[in-house]
Amino acid sequence: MAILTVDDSTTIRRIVKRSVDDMGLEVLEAADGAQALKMIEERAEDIQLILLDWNMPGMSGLEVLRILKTNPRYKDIVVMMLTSEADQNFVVEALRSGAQNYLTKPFDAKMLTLKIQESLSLAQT
Amino acid sequence: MSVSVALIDFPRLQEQIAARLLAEYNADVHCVNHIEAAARLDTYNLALYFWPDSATDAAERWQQLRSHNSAAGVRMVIVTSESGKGVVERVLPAGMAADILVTPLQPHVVSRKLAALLGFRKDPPATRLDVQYINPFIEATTETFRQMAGMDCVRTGVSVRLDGSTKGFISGTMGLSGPAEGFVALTFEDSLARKIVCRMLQVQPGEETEDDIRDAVGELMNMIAGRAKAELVNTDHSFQLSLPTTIVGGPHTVGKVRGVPVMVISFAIAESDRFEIMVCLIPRRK
Repeated sequence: MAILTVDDSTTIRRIVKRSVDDMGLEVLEAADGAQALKMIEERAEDIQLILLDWNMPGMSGLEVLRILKTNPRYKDIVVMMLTSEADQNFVVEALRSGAQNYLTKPFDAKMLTLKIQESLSLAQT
Repeated sequence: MSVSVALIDFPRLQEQIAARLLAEYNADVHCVNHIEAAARLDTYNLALYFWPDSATDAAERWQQLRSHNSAAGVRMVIVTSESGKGVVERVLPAGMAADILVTPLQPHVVSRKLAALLGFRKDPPATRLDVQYINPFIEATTETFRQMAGMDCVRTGVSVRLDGSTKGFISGTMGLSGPAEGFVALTFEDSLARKIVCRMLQVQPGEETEDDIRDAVGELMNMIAGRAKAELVNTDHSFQLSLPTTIVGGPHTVGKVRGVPVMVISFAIAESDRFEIMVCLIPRRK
């Protein structure tokens, strides 16, 4: 099983990878929305959780989220937004669009692990 | 040419009022405590010392400042309340301060005193500067460093610059648009940037690459701007985020908005590790 982290920052992808490594899951990485959608198409059955940034070059995280949640093949993959957009209006918009969890940057490493575990448990129900 | 003014031991609100008034004169304003000020009084053209009503050691601090070697040649003014003025006149010998300014600071009084002390006048085209909006950036910065790198940083001063020029080596910067527009930048010396990146990525010093540093500095900027943005939503200074960019090699200039001063917030992580945030944000409708 795998987690896909979608973020244009290599720093964030590495921090996520470090947090997930101990959980025994494969970590897939995408630097933008287009790469992410390609990877999801190829590995949809393996991906349990997607960590999705909001502001990225090209397609925004919200656009990626809407594409996923309107596609019957991908709509059940759990999505957690991991973004510096901390405004409550953004949180509401993401949750309304189908995201199951939301964590704002900056984040504490322990909080990241906790939120990932919480999201994974949603994926298993 | 701008004049360098120190605001010494000013409480936050008084500091903001004074900085706003002085910004209209294009003064380079440095907000410092009396210990920091004592070591470099000779670098200022004017030092304003805040004398609180309640502090019993205000006179002692003033005497220490006044007797410091670096105080020779700098004009030193006491800023205090009406009742504080009575205390000052009682405890200080005449001539110990160039002048006394009484709070609340009035623009026309400040103008008259500055003209008398330094001979400088207000530049006519300056846009009125509201400095309240920098507080969310200060809080966002301390929180971002604490959470992402496990580092405690403290604000050491606030000053005003005419453009986004910096002597630092690497800057993460972001253009801001929306109801307010401008830019924000986070600038480090190379050595401090490396130290922070190693903490964030949990790698040993020397294992970090140039790409790691560029990316992490940009991402730190992104997080600080994002958090500050959430605090400023529904205010005149609300803005939208853009993608951060990184400038390497110093000194450099990150941006400039014509006629709008740049607020420079200085931080320290440890004694020798200092960095700065520049914020230039102006409501479009004003």
